[in-house]
Amino acid sequence: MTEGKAKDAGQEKFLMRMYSSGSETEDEEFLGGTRAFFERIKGQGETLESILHEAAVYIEAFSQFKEVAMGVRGRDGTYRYSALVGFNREAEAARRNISFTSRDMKDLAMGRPIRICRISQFYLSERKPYLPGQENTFNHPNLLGIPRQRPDEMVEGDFVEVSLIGKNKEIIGWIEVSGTMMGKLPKRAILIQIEFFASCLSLVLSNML
Amino acid sequence: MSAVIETERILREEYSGSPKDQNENIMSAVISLASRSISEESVENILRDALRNVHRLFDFQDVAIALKDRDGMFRYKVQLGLSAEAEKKYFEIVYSPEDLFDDTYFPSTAVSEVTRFYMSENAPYKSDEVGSYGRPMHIADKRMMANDMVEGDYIDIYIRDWKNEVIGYFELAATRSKKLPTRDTIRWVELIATLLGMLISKRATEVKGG
Repeated sequence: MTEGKAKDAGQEKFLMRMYSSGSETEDEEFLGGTRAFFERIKGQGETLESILHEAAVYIEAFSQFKEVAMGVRGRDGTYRYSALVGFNREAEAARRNISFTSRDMKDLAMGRPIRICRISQFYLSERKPYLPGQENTFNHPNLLGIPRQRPDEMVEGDFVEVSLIGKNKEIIGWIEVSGTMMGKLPKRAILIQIEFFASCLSLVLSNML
Repeated sequence: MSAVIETERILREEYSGSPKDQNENIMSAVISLASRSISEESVENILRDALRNVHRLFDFQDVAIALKDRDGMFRYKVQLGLSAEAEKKYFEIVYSPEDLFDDTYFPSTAVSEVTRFYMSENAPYKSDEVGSYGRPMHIADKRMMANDMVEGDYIDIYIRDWKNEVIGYFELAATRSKKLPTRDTIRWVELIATLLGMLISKRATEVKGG
């Protein structure tokens, strides 16, 4: 300050202590991390593929899920997996060979998912949410079909799908998460965070797809 | 009962769509805001929607958004909380990019990369701007506690475009609790500002002043 108004040093110190120091709560970490994600993908000449990959890595980092798959609608109107994190080579290759039509994306008959939270679908392994021959899209196909022992377990074949909704409410892609660290159903708060992140990401992707 | 039937019950009952706490309530509101904004063509409508949500979800009585116009100057575009008379004066204010970062006339404390606190004790305004305050007669009121928010205090949270240039800012003032906002609140508005910047940056200069 060379002229004009002097700052109140005590008040400034208080503000810095209140807003810029100390450990963050889980919610603050998520908000800060999400903002940092979007700041990072801005202006870096990022491609659609790199944004999706970074998004999948970020979801894996803040959620309890070991596997994150993301897909988007291509120029030909079909939907394919674009980013896969946490899958073994065979499962990843099998997923990259699959494509879905827009009718497939809206068809909830297969697997009969349960609608949860705001925009998510929970697919239960017992309902076989995959076509015959697609067992190899899972990391451990040999574990598919083994009955759940406890109701709060998350087993191989269970997954949660969150749609990415673009202009005019069209589905432009999806996020699929599976395999929690402790083998239990995910925390509700984590799923809400994924839905929130998906909505924010749709803002960006809607102008790219 | 087989385990899967019970799992279905848990999913339907414990993962229902209704928000369970204030944080979920805010997330739900921002999801709705994002959903509406994707298909909205008018920048002004997007700004109004964002501002209404910030005003409703957080503790601030007076909120506004300023944007950079084609001439490079910043002007307030939308506000909530001020009287018609104060609003008129508020919308007449014009800042250059230099003003925005001028610590001489507008002393501030940067608490993050995008947030600056302007405290009343430092008189962060020009003399002809006093009329744009909601309660100008209280502008010299003394702060009794360090975490009080008093007339004359305000917070700017920058809105940046895809090139990370500042294209506008949220201005937040006068909390209903009369206390400084929580750290969570600041993180929330920072995130909303980031999303807003990405959404409107290509169209920001199309909005007419005031």
